[in-house]
This record gives sequence, C-alpha cells and structure tokens, in this order.
Amino acid sequence: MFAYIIRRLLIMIPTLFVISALVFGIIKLPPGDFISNRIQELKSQGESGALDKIEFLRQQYGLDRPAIEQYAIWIGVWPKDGQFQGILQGDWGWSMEYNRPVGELVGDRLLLTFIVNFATILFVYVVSFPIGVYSAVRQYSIGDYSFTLLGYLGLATPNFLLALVLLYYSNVYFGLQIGGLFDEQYIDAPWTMAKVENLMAHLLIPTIVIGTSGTAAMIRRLRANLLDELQKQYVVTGRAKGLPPLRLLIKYPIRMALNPFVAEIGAILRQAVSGSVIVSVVMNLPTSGPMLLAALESQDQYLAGSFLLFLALLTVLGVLISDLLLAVLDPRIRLEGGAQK
Amino acid sequence: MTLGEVSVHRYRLDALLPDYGRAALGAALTIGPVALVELSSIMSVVLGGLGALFVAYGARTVWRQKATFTLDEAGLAVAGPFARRIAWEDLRGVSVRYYSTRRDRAEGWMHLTVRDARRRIAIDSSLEGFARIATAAARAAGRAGLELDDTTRSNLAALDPAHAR
Repeated sequence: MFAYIIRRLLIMIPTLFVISALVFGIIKLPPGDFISNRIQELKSQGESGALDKIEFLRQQYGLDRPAIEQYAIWIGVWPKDGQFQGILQGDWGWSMEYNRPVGELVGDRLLLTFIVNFATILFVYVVSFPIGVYSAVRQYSIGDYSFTLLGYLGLATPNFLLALVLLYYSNVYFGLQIGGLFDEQYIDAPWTMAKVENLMAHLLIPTIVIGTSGTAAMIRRLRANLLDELQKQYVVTGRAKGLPPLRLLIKYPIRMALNPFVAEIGAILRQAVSGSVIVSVVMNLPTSGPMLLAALESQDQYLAGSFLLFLALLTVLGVLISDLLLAVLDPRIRLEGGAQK
Repeated sequence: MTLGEVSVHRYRLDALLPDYGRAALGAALTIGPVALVELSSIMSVVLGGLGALFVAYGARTVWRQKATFTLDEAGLAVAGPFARRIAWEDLRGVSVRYYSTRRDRAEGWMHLTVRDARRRIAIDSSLEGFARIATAAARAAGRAGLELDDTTRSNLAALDPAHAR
C-alpha cells in the first residue's frame, strides 16, 4: 500500500503543476489583458486621458513581463522585485478588479464552496445508495420504474433550470426567498454558532439543486452494477444453500457493487464544482462561482487563476481519495482486463 | 537460487531502479522547493511531510536492495538490515494484494504480507521467485488452518491456478 500511495502522490504533484500552467495559459489566451480591457471601457466612456496610464498600470501589475515569468511569479518559484510572493508562499496574488489581495477576497467563498460541494456529495451518496439498491433488488417493480423515471428527469434537467423553477415556485406558493446561503443579518457577520445554523438551514436547496443530476447518474450506475452481481453464480449458489436474502445481499453483491461508487468520488466532486458555478449565479450563492465568472470576463488573471487552481486541487484530491479507498476496498487482480503480473 | 529445499531470493537492481527514480523525483519535487524557495509555513509542512514520505520510500528501496529472502520448508527469513524469520508453524496470516495506478488496472504489482504474532515480512512481486514464495505461504496457511480472504484467494489463483479451487 505504501508503494501505491507513493506512486499516486508522484502522479498527483506533477499533475497539479501541469494544471496550474494550463489554467494560467488558458486565462492568458484571449487577446489583451485586464488593463487593455479597462482602457477600452474608459475610452468608450470618453476618458482618453486614461491612455497615459497604460504602461504605468501594466508595470504595477507585472503584466509587462513575459507570460512565463508572470506564471513563475504567481506560483512562487521566481522572485518579483527580489522577493518570492506566490502561491507557494501563501500569497494568491492581487485582484486587479477589486484592488485587494486575492486571499483576502476569496477566503470565505472558498470555504463556502467547499461546504456546498461536500454537502452535495454527501447528499448524492445518502440518497442514491438506498434507491440504487432498491431498484436493483426490486427490478421492474413499480418503485423501480418510478425511480428510473425520476432518474431520467434528474439527468435531463439542467441544474440551473431546476434552480430557477424552485426559486419561482417557492416564492409564488410559499413566499420564500431561497437564494443565498445566509439571512441578511448574517452575511457580513463574524462566524458564530447562530451563523453556522443559519448556513445549515439554507444549505438544503442548493444541495438538492446541484446534486440532483449526480444522484440520478449514481442511482443508474449502482443499479446496473448490482444487477450484474445479482445474476452471478455465487449469488445463485448462496440462494440455493438457503442464505437469508438480506445477508446474502450485504455480504457479497453490495460490496462488489460499491467499487464504482467509491471510484466516482473524484468525478462527482468535479461535476459538483463545475455544475455549481452557474447555479451559484442563479441562486445568488456567495461561493466561488459568480466571482470566478466575473474574474474570467474581466481577465482578472490572478483571481481567476487562484479559483481555478483551488477547484483543480479539490478534484485531484478527490480522485486521490477515491483511488486510495478503492485500493483498500478491492486490491484484486482483474484477469479479464489483461492485468497479469 | 535453489539449494535443495532452500531457495534464496533477491530484488534485482534493474527491478529497483524505477523505485529509486520515483524516490529521487518525489524528493526533488517536494524537498527541492522547501530548500530553495521561501515558503509559507503551511506549504513547508505539506511539502516537508510529502518529502519525508519519498525519503522513507528511498530508504525502503535501499533496504530491499540489501535484503536476501530465504524460503525453506520451515519458514521464510529475511537477512540484511532488520533481519527476521517467520516459521510456518507460527504463521498467523497471509495476504496477497494487487495494486495498479492505471484506470484499467493493468501493469500493476502484487504485494505479499506474511505475519506471525509479532513480526511481518512484506514482499513485492518484483522479487525474483515471488510466485513461489506466495504459493509456499498459502500452502503453509492451509496446513495451519488459516482462512485466506477472498481477495488473497483470487490473487493467488492468478499466480497459480491450483489456488482457484
């Protein structure tokens, strides 16, 4: 297991470096930069005097340097003005849009993004597991058909559309405002137990909205895997020998069907993170989504890059956790896959 | 090498070279920034911790290069640093695990662990004669009436179809 952990870590570290380079490269791909966009805005407003400031601002934000140097400074492996001031030093850069340090700007948003996505994954697992097992064990029953229909609806409905529908109906029929993660008095308040409770109360709707498609997909996958297992000979033998159905189900088929369940943690995390961006805009959630979109639009490269890198880190960690769990759960050779030593 | 009923096994250097490479690369990627660049305290702890893991992996690879495993009718012994011997009559557990970092689970490796009440000997499938040692350990477990788990039985069957029963 130790060798496995080492090999997985050795894949993970360069992966993160490659992702950081790709993120930075993609942000830099569109023509121009934050300053030129801002100058265009000012010129369209008739402020031609702003042109004089271009070079000064470019120099101030380090945009006059080559892109690779900007990347190295951002990561923290190249000094800026004789000092290392990058992510490796805990400095996430400077937001040109907000004129504040990125770390100061995104602190709570990253925490809330993590909470929302963690709650979503929990929701996906807690809901899909019993339904998936029920659908497989009671195949072609009314319950199975009902859950299958709901599953297809869940898969086919875009998260943001579901958010809009819920926003509309909760307002029209119940007079509720379900946007946001806090009541107004808690938005800028320091963290207290009351604020945490308020967050928990608001977490349910975004969790359902973001998690619905993932839940539907997971139910389908678990049902299919469990059906495969239930048709295998060892299950038939177990039944023939008189093993009680529940014990037979829990002892072998569910265990085997759980493997893809664990292996999907990374994929669900990625889906939840990317799916939550638009939902956050629609539902006015104070997570990273809306700020990330704004930063990408304005080419606020350090703010956008830091967000994307954090989200990539979450995904890579999710995949690592799922791989480690899978290695613990089922360290078995698959001869049909050609894996032979 | 086999001497009568006794066989001696070592890790070949060419089988260990990739492990040395991994340890060196991992240490360079983690300890390198700690040594060369000013880091925040959290980053220092994270990268330092990861670096320690890679150094430990390198040390384990050095140990493997120096270790000699001896299999005989009475048990399995390892000579070299941290020498120990497990007699089959004291056997408490045998497990064979398979690991792969690829999605299709191909090109992986097996890991045999043999335990008595106090000690354990762990061997990877890059050891010459791994299948022979694993098979001997499984037979000893059978003689001692030890129950092998499903995973171990399945992996042993891949090594030697006689275990598929």
